[in-house]
Amino acid sequence: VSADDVLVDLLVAEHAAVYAYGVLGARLDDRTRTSALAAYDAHRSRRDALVSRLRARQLPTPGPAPSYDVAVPDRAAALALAVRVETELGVRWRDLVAATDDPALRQLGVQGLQDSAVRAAQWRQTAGITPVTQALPGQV
Amino acid sequence: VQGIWQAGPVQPTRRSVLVAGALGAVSACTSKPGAAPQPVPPDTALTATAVARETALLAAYDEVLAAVPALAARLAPVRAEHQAHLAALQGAPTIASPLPVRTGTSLQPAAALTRLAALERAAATAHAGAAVSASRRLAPLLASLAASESAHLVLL
Repeated sequence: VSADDVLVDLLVAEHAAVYAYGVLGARLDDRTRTSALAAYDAHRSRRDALVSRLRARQLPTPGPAPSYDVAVPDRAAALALAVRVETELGVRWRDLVAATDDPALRQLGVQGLQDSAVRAAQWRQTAGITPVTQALPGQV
Repeated sequence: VQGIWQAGPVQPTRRSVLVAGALGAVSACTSKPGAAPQPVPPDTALTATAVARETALLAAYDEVLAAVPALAARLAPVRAEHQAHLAALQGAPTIASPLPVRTGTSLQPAAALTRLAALERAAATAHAGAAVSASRRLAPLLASLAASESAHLVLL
């Protein structure tokens, strides 16, 4: 898989993450919602940075899907969705690390993987899911 | 350009790293004048450094657990992940060794956790840096180690 393909996949995934955090925040208490809002902002920045990067490389910049198949009936579902979003993004950031020799892209991938692993751990801890951490985040 | 070492084993063991180092030293002494020096295989060196780092982290956890057994429930899963890191670097199955026996040493739990957090943070930074210069084969593993160690801070 080329780094270009992974970058496009990452943009698609970041669109989904932004959508998911927008939906799941409504099911959380005030304190937890603050974390969700911070994550929402972080994913929006990543999304925008990916759009710029893809444009600079003259690659397609897919927009968000018209709808996403997510049901968030309660707090547990909201937290589970947040864990899923971060875990799946971690896989793609790790894919980017594996797909490039460009140090800047490597760094971006490593940072993305670290951020998603930290957020996934925070959500698991909030949800009372154990283990809170993973030995090899991003590895399928 | 792919180095010749990249066709070798994915994750050299500590032993093979040491042997390779020794062989490198010998060939350096016996090479003909004017021959290009053998480059240090980056992945081999990066793996050896990562193994040393994980070994030191495991020792730090063992020291804390031996002194403060009350932290076992919190720290044992993290310690197990470092054992998994070590195994992944060495391309070997995870060896789950028993928790250390209690020693007479006493440590303040809060200070012990702060120290472990500092070690995890340093390891995450080092592994993240190594992931930038490693081969495509090793880099994802180092990136996962960095991510795992950053996430450990959530528990410390």
